[in-house]
Formats: sequence, structure tokens, C-alpha cells
Amino acid sequence: MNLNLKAKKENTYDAIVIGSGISGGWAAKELSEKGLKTIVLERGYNIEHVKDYHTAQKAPWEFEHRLRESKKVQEEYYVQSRTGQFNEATMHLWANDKDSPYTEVKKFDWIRGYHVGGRSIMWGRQSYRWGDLDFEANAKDGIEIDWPIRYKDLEKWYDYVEGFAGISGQNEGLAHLPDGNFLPPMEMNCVEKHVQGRIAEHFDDRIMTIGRVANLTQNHKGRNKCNYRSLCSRGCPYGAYFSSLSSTLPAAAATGNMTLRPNSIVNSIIYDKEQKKATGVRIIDAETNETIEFYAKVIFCNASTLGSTFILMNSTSDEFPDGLGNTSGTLGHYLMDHHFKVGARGAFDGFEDQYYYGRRANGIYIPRFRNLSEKRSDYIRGFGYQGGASRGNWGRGVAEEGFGADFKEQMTNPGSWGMGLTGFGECLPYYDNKVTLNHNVTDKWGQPTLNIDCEFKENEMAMRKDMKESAAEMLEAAGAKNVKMYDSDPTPGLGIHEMGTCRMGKDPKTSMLNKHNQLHEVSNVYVTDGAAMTSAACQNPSLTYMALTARACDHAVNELKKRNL
Amino acid sequence: MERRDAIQRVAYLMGGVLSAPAISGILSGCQPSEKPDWLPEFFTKAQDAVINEVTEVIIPTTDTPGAKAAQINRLIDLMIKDCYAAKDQETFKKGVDALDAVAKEKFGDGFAEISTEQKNELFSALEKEAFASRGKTDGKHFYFLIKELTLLGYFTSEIGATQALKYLPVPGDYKGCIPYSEVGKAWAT
Repeated sequence: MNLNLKAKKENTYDAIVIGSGISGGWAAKELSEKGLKTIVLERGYNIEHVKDYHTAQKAPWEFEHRLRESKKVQEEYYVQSRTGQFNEATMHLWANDKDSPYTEVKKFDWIRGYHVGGRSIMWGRQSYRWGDLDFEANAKDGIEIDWPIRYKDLEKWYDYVEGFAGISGQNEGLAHLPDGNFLPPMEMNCVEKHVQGRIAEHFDDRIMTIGRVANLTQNHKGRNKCNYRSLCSRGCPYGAYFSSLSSTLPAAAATGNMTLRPNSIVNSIIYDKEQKKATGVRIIDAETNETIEFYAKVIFCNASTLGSTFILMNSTSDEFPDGLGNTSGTLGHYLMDHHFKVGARGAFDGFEDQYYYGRRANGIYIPRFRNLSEKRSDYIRGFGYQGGASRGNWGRGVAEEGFGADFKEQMTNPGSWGMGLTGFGECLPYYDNKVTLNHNVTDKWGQPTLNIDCEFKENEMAMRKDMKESAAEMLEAAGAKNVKMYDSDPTPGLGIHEMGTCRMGKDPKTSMLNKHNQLHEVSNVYVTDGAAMTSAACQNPSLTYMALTARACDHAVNELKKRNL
Repeated sequence: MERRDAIQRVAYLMGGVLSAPAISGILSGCQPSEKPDWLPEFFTKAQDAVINEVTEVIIPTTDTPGAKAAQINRLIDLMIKDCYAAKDQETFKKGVDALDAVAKEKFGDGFAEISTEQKNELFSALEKEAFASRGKTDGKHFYFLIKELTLLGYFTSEIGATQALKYLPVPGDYKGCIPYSEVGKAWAT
């Protein structure tokens, strides 16, 4: 055997998974558990579960800048530092913006994690099913194209991924926010319970429930229950929340079928026009800059919404000059994110003798109640609220008058109770909201980069008005004092729920992916991350990526068995 | 048993694995800046002496140690140098110098040398000025800059978090409603 053939054989697997975040971890687990020799290519550096969570056990005073970031760090992470999740304890988990730049045609906060596990380490962990209200929305509104799937197609996969991941929550029997396979719910605090009761009394159309969150309320599948430190985004030493590192990658590794290769930036997918299939991928080793090819029968793109779309755009050939499988011209279009940072807060009297024990890494949820049966004239779709009640801490003292012994004494006691509600609203898919390749700006490895051109439009803005007013209305009905509405600058991207740009659909002329998340035109390439979304719903999307990925892996393995791939 | 082993065992009982830096932090008493030969890097020694006194005016020693004991001046020197824009740095320096100048003018001694009552009197005047000018001037007033850093520094210091407040690294459980009397202090985190 000559050297080339030998090298090719060594680099040949049954399946390639691009990315090791939430959806890539699932693809790795499912494919390797079903017997496929699978290589997982992660562009970032390696992180080992527990061992590499070097900030996880630190007390506040052990951080040089007490968790704030220095000017020097802000320069390196000039985009990443825009998210409130970024701080001195987590900064090593966010992408270096200088190494991996992009161009903001309009302001867009592209928040990324380039390391094994991706953003599954830092994610917000809120986990909600999408329902037919969401999957039928485009068809009923006559907006863009219909989803090629319905809730019944995903239901058993939601059951399956929830069962493995461990989601705590309360079933509420709502058709549009389907019940799940939950661990026991976390408890509300006394003000939240009060508000929950008042909302139930005053509003026929809405409820408040505890957040459905991927934190374990009891030991689950070899992982420990939550210890209520609320330091999740540093990595959990107990494995008490779902991440690729705590959950899916160990399961994949246990099969003996998975090879994980960090520092592997997938540059493009290799297409063979004779077979009309992808044969492998070309990577750049992030450390050595070496170009290497890997080959497989099936390829899963799980590089994150814009990461996967970038790879497809950068995979050009005579057959696909505008990106792999992009005869429709829809690749890169219909970028969406949830718009948030809008709502209301208020103060509650009468609970001064009450407090809480432990730090619950979860809040409350008010599911969507707009445009269900009664339709509004000012906007379509809807929003949900996340929020919570707590007592003030010493931070209140900065803006208050006072200093000295009495002031110090006051600050060592908790302040008054306050509760905030933040809306998360659906964004419609717009052709104009798009990414394109930029060959003039290159990254550290000489690759082209993305132009991001995205904005929220009239429907989102009209919704925001209702989002803050309805939040204030509920808090007032619950007896809150001093209710204040707020609406901060809604920059897309900051929701870190970027979706679309490689959407599913029934028609190859208007969509990239079919109902199984296969490229219509290159059937052995699957895209099962946020890029696949045809519309955005208003619920946090990660659980849906998990379900879509598990379902697509099942399909891929069956197709391989039937020799269809 | 070696002390390091004992700490590791306690960490294990708490349900976790302590990182090496965290263990060395515990062994050294968690005061990274306990160095006796510490010198300010951003401020002059004279400015640092004023800052040190102002922090103690804001958070004095009572039944628990105050800001001086927690060496908040050292944190302020580092934070202003590393984390603040040039404009705030300038406001801070000028504010410190002005406070010192007023002390000399009014009481004939620098801010670090005057009595506690005199310090309180001057800081109270500064507070009035800061609240009166709130929203009317561009940028943050010195009063708010130093107060914020003093509160942040103190209540996230080991002394502030574990003595003035109640610090619970690993609660282990969550209870949504408990009588406040069972805790008696605000949680540190």
C-alpha cells in the first residue's frame, strides 16, 4: 500500500461530526452508540471535564479583579465581553475576537465558545419543547416557508433527550408548551409563589411556572445532583447540569467508537461530483496550521448556526459555486435571534421576615400567552418571560446615601424584595437578515470570515411594546410597588440563540435541508444545529437541537444500513 | 495529617475537588496581597494613604473588621489601573487630591492625619456634592467611584464575605422560603 493510500485509510471513519457543543455532542453519542466509527472535529482547544474547570471552586476574593474584566481582556474579547455571561471566571471559555473576527454590517453580537464542549459549558440551560404553535406558524401566517416537520415527529425524541440530559421542571398541560419527561421541579421562593398565585387569580390566559432547566434535582445517570452554588458557567465539578463534557461525550467515549480531535478547524467539506456526495472534510490544525483531510460516509455539521453555514459557504465546487447544496440561494439568509432585554421589575413589601437558602441556578417562566386563540392586530407570534424574585444585596448601597457604621450594618442585611420579568420574543425569518463570506478580512488561519447583516424589524419592535407593558401589568396585579418598565437596546446575537441561515423545508428550491436535516442536494451531509431552524419560536432552542440531532442520527444510521447514503 | 491533606479532605466532603490555586489560597490565608512591602502601582503613596482612610470611613471596623483590615486600598489601586478608562482614572486621582487639599485647608492636616470626626465631615460634604450633581455632569463622580469599589472590594473580600456577610460555598440544597431569622445576615453570594 502506498503512503497516500495508507494515510487516507488512517483518516477514514464511518462518520464525521463537526463541532462538540450541544448538538455535536449528541451526534457523537448517537452515532458512536449505534456502532459508527466517529471522529469529532472541534475547532477549539481541549477541555477535560472537572479537571480543567480551574475557576469552579474559587471564592470571589480569589479573583484578581473580583470577577470584573480588565481593559486588556476587553480588547481581546471586544465582542464576547458584551454578554453578561462573560467575566473573569469564564473568560477563557469565550472565543478570542482578535483571532476570529467578523464584520458587523449592522451591530450583531456573535457570542462563541471555541473549545471542546463549546457553549454547552456556558449555556443558560433553560429547556423548553417547541409545539405545533411554532411548527405551524409560518404556514398559518403565510410567512416564508412551512416547516417540513410537526410536533409529533419530534415528540419521542424530546422524551429521549430529556431522559438522558436530565431536565427538571413542572408539567403544566399546555398544548403550545408541551409537557416533558422531567426530574422534580425546583422550588419557587415566597415572593415568586405569591406572584404565581396572583397571576392565576387575575389572568385566565397565563400561568407562571418554575423554569425547566438542565440542572439535576436528583442524582441522574451517574451524575450528581445540583449543589445550588449557581456557578454553572465555570463548569460544574459535580456534572450537575447537562453539557457535552458531563454527559454526551463521556457516553460517546464509552463506546470505544469515538475519536475526539480538538484544534481542528473545518475549512470545507469535500464534494465528489461523480457520487454526488460529500467524501470528507478539510481541516486546518489550529496549532500547526497544517491542512489535513478526513473522510467518512456521513457528515454531521454541528459547528453552531453561523459556524456550520460558514463551512457550507466555504465549500465551493463547479457544481456548487455558491456553497455546498446551495442551488436554492437560501444559504446564509433568514438569520434570527430572540429579542430580549425588555420587561419590567417591581418591589414587594410584606416578606421582610422571609429569605431563601442556596443559590438556585434557575428562574421562573411565564409561557407565551399572545396570539393563541385571540389574534392581535399590532404584531404576530409571541414571547415568554423569564425572571425571578430576590432580596437586594450590598450593591444597592452604591447609589444610596450613607456611609459609616450604620450604613455597614444595613448592608450586611438583605435589602427589600424585588422581582423582574424579562421577555424573550420570537423574531421572524427575513431574507434580508443574512451572512455572506468576506474574503477581504481573514482570520488567524487565513480563512475568509463572515459579514453579518441582521436587524430586528417592525414586528419585533411592536411586540416589545407589549412585552414591557404586559410585564408591568402582571407585576402590578401581583401587588408590586414602584413598577418600572425597561427596554434596552435590542442587538441581535446577544440572545445567543442565533438560528436559521440553512433552513429546513419541503422544497429544494426554497430551503437547504429536508425533513431529516439532510442537505436536499447532498444527502450524506446533515445539519442539526441552530442553522436548520425555519422559524424561531420564542422558547430557548437548545433542547430542540438535541431532539433534531438524535432523530437525524437515527435516520442516518438507518439510511446507511439500507445503503442509501 | 498534613494540612494540605486535611484541606483536600474537607474539600472532598464538601463534594468537590479543589483546584491547586484554591488550595494554595486557603493555605496562605486567601490574602494574595498580604505582602508587607506592598507599594501602590497606580497611585502615589500619599494618594494611597488617603484612599485607605476613605475606605475605612465608608466601611469602618465595628464588631467585624472594616475596609482597612481587608486592604481595599490595594484592590482599588489594581482595579483603577487595570479596569477603568482614562477619564475615570483622572477623576479618581483628582478626587483624592481635592479631598486631601480640603483637609489641609480646613483642618491644617492631610486627610490621612485628621480625626475620624473630621474625615466623616469632609466625606459627608463630598456625598452631598455628589448627589446634588448626579445626572448633571458627564461621567461618574469620584464619590460613586470610590464607594462602588469599596463596597465591591469589602463585601467580596474574605473578611467581608465571611464575617460581615454569610458565605456558603456549597449550599448543597435549595429552600425557597425560610425564616430570615435562620440566617440573620445577607448571603455573600
